[in-house]
Amino acid sequence: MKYAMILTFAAMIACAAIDIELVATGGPSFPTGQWGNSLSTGVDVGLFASWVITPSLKVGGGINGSVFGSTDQGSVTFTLLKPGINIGYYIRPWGNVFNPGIECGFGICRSSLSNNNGADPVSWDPFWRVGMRWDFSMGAGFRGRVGANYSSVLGEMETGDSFILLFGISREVTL
Amino acid sequence: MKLLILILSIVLIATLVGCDRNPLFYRLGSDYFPISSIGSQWEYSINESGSLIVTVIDQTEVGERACYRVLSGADYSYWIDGSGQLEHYEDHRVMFNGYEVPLYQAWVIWLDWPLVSGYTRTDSISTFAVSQGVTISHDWKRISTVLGIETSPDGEWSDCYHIRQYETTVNWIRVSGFNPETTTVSRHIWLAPNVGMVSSSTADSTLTLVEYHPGN
Repeated sequence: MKYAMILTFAAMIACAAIDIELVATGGPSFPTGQWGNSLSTGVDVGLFASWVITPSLKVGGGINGSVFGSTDQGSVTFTLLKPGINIGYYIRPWGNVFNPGIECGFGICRSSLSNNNGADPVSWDPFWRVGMRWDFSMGAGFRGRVGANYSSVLGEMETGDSFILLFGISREVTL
Repeated sequence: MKLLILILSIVLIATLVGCDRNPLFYRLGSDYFPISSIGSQWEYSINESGSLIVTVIDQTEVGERACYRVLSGADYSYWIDGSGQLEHYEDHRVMFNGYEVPLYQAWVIWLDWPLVSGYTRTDSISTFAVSQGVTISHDWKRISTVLGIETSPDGEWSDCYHIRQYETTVNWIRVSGFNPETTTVSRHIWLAPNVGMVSSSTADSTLTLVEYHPGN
């Protein structure tokens, strides 16, 4: 009987339809702290896929990247590539207009800096981020979201903190 | 779902393979030429026998631009440290028949921030001046290259950018009997984070930082 129950449970899990939320985001990224002194405001884009555990709770992963240039006409390029895990909790998932939530994440950040035909060694550092979201329906199964993240790359001797404004679009699919 | 797990696993493995940390954000946030604090003072030993004191004296205006005046021994130099560039006022003169002839005075970029390993910058000037009816031509070129991130030669300062500068000057008094006079200087400079130049060496001399007092 015990084995039958386990087998039944395993079959249920295997056959269960899983809801996945796919999200694309973009927005400006503002360095905070000394590390941004020679850099302009950056652009941040991201792609995430999350398992919708409950309508409110979503856990998944993805990747986002930021690119910064020079404050003047220079040829500086500073890129951050952040693959990581994302956890989101939304308060009113049934809300068409107002579904506030919070998201946090962590992972590893690849930082690379180049200027005038040269490049510093790439650094891989852990990072975390936390942010607020306002999620709303856009119709045709799509949802929009606006929000902001505060992100910190835990670099050696100094952290690389930034504030990111986010605009995104999401869609739930069933696999 | 399996595909998603596979993709995430590949991404995770790819990020963890060859992971290497270095203080990139620290270097990016550091001031490698802190001349914007009046009163800052650097004391260098020259060839381990003499000494040189470099002091940021005040702010002044040169070439219609606000800048910092730096006293180095008995000589003044003028610098502007913007967010993206460090500029130096080039004042090139030549002695001719007992007169000092000004050849070129202007702001020229010394380095672009942030520095990186392998960075190169070339600046050049080609001009002439007429003095006492004689034309003097002046060609100048400076190539700056960051050779790498190193500890200073005396082992005291880490995360220094090691810069090599070649500076070539050709002055030619355009009358018969005079040939082009070429001067070439090759210097190595080590810039330390939030301290500035901690070591410099040319064929003639080696400077080593002994003391640094940041200004206000």
